[in-house]
Amino acid sequence: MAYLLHHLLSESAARLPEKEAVRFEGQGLSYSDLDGLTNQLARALKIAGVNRGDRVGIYVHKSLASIISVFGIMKAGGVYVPLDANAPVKRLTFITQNCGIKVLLTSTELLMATAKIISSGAPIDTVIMTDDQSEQLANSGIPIRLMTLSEVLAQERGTLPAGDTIETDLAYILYTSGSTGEPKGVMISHRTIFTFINWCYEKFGMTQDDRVTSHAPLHFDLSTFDIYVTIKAGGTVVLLPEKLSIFPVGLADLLQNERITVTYLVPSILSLMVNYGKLDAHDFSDLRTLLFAGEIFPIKYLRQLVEAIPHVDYFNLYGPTETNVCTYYKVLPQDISPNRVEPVPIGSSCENMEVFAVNDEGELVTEPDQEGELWVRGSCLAQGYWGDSQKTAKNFVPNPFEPHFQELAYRTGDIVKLAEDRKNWIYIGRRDHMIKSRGYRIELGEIESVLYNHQSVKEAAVVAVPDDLIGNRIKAFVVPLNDYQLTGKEIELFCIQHLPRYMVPEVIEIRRELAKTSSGKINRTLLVSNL
Amino acid sequence: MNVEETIKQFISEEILFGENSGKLDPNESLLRNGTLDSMALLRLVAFIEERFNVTVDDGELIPDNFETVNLINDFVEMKRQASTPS
Repeated sequence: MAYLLHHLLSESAARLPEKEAVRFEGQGLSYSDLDGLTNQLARALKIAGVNRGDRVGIYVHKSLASIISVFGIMKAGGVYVPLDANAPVKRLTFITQNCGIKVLLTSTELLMATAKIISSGAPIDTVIMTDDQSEQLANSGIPIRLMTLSEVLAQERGTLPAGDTIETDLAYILYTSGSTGEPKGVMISHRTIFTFINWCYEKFGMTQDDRVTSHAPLHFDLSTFDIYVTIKAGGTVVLLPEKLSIFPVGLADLLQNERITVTYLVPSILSLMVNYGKLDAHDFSDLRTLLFAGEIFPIKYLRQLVEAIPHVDYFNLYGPTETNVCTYYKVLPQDISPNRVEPVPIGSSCENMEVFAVNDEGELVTEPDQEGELWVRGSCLAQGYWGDSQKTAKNFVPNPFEPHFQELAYRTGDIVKLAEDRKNWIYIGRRDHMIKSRGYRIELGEIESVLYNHQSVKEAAVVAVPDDLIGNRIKAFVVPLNDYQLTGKEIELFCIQHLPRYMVPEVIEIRRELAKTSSGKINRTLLVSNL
Repeated sequence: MNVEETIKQFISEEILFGENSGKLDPNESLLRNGTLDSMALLRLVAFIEERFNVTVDDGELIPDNFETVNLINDFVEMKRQASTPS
């Protein structure tokens, strides 16, 4: 019985050894090859000192190595921590320090950046290369142990003896945007992610004939569907090259040429494809199911997508990283009628998960049109935030509606209302400053914190400007200290050094002052209404 | 300013925010590190269309035409020649 993520791989490898498990840019790995390579990596990791529960960083661009890494780390009993290959050094150094990463998997391309991360104070003592490297790189100047790919491949390929990991042990940690100015590490156990994977496997009728794209980077929870649900079914994971994500025709070509059957994409990408992907010039007859999540999908683009590819089942999925997907909604023809302007609902609870809404008085929402904050209960809940028991206790609270036994519920901070059908939930907005842009979850406060770190910034406010294509654009207002001559470019440059690219404000305005509300806080409503 | 310089300047200032001004390697991949994201690409295309008076077809939005400054330059030159009446 599979209860750890890598069991899914072993089981499918035993059943379908010659089947192609994963493909990238025309190169593939069979299930037995993937199984063997991950066993070799697991042994190498143990030699590098990885014990049960140790956090291991994955710092590579999307490639076959990404897939080998996640399974290899878990087979060694470790907890994988994906590091965004496009994130600035400071952010990655913070993450490695925050969860204590001592072993890092990386590639030649990122070796220099790795050296910078280590010299900035990361506690890494071993780096393992995932690409074909000669010992010359051992002279990279990094004063720690460097393990080459050859050493990994010299390990035995056979199945490892069973370790002592159990299902409530962590499988991985995903770092997301945090309101205090620093990313938070969401901890996910094997049992937690299995709740989601089992639901997907059933709901979407996954089989070994499925060919599923992997678009989302490893540090996004959408990636868990792409990889683990497909591997469980014995299907083929088709990795999308990162560079293709901004080229809609290329994406459409790949979906067609690779005969993709199921795909899970963020609305920003789908909108790009609808507008620039020449969908009508493609044959998507193999596609049967399309899932979208991560942000609101403007109804006009969903309509065009369904009209372009009508035979596909479309599902809107909703759920924060702290619970993965917890509600779903299947798009019906009447949902995209020409006069509809609102987005589709986020839907109802996934089977084996439960959501409910709590109003300002602390009561359950039971009537249509009533609003409340969405809470989630079930084994789909994350184990909290690494190293931050305070924040964890704030968001993962004892369920007040379960009087007989102790259980936690997660407060999403999303405001929803019950639909007329009394079954589906409709998304209204965020309680705080969290916004979505290009599918990324961004805490505006984190950007503001960074701005305040600039020595010449007196005041800063960051607001979201709704945008059809990407959800929101980010606009920053900055007041310089005294007479200091600050320029927008200077601030932009500063942001680039401290934030991932997608969090850098698109527009920066220098102001002499920012209007305040009666309570002395910056009047954001005024800033937004003046746009 | 010639085509290559114009493109380099736009990318340096409007996409890299002056971070690498002067040091932008015309053969360096703009796609590899997410330098060019979806919005930046669309802004670049809008700039090219307006500045050089050409129309970029959706089918031309491919990595081959936008991976590096040199490739963008080649693409723009090709478009200009195609639209110049002979």
